[in-house]
Amino acid sequence: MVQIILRVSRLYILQLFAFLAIWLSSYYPGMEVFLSILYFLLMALEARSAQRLKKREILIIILLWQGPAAILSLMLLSGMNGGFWSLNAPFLLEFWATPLMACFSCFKGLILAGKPLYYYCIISIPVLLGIYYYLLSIPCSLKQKNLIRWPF
Amino acid sequence: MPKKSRYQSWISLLIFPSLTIILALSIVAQNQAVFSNSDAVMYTYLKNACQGQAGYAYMSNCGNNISFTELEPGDILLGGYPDCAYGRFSHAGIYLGKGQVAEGYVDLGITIQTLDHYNNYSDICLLKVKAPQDVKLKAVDYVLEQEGKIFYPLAFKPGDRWWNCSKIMWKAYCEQGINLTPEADFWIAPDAFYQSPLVDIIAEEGWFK
Repeated sequence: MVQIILRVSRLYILQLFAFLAIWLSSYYPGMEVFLSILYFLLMALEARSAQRLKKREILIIILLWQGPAAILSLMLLSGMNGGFWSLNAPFLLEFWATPLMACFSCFKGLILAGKPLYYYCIISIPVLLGIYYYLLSIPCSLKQKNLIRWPF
Repeated sequence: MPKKSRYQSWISLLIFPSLTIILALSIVAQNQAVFSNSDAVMYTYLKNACQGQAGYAYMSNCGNNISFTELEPGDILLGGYPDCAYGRFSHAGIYLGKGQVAEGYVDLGITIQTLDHYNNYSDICLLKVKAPQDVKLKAVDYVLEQEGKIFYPLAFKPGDRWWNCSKIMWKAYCEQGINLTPEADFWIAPDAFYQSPLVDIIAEEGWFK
């Protein structure tokens, strides 16, 4: 339990300060992309250090870490209208997704079904980050066991 | 966990907080003029936030009856609801012609919409930029090139990859050599266009008038 709380706290610190640093670095155009890459590297290190935990514990960590963002995403998807949280949900999710936005800003705006591609990423950010953390926290031995090998 | 790896894990955790402090100090050191500008957006926002006004305010049912007939491509539209934290107006758009306007929203990015929703604002103002028509058309072209790009509410003035509704048209005119808001500031609020000496007011309506 202590391990879970410690790891979730670390992920929140990383996420919140990555948002602040990447947003501030956008004052110097281009720097935010490097910091965004750094964020994904540090997140990978965090996930790798959780390899000794059980799958159930990893899922609890992801749920506690991305839970608030997932609730905001569900509010947007359900089309809830009115109230502080539903009106500001897209802004809060965009701040949460700032590291990913920095990468997206490098590409030409792509529009799908009337909405820009980055908006779909904002909504799915809890799932995307959750999958990223989960895949990297799977022990290497397990990954090797499931590897498809060449027949020769 | 070995001692060395525990030490390393704390270093990796401190990277972003350290970068945040360094970047904040660097921006503050380079922008003393912004802090001495009492009309800067951050001061307006803080002052209004202290009075309980936060964000872009909520839609009211007042609306307006303004006529858009005098608009030409390149003209600026401002709209606002009562209690907006960053000034009288909360939103801005640039007229493209044929009843269309380019603007920015978080869920649509930089987008092209029809004019009619500007009749929903309780405060509205139409501005004509004092520039030759060909310059205004080039500004329109610049905005159109950014369609679908990211809307980020806290986008700083520098850079051309993160936009908000005011920054896009400020930059579009800046690229043509017209700086509509030369005051030292980190961001551009729609009110800055209203106060700009480089625009004429075509028409306005609202409780503030």
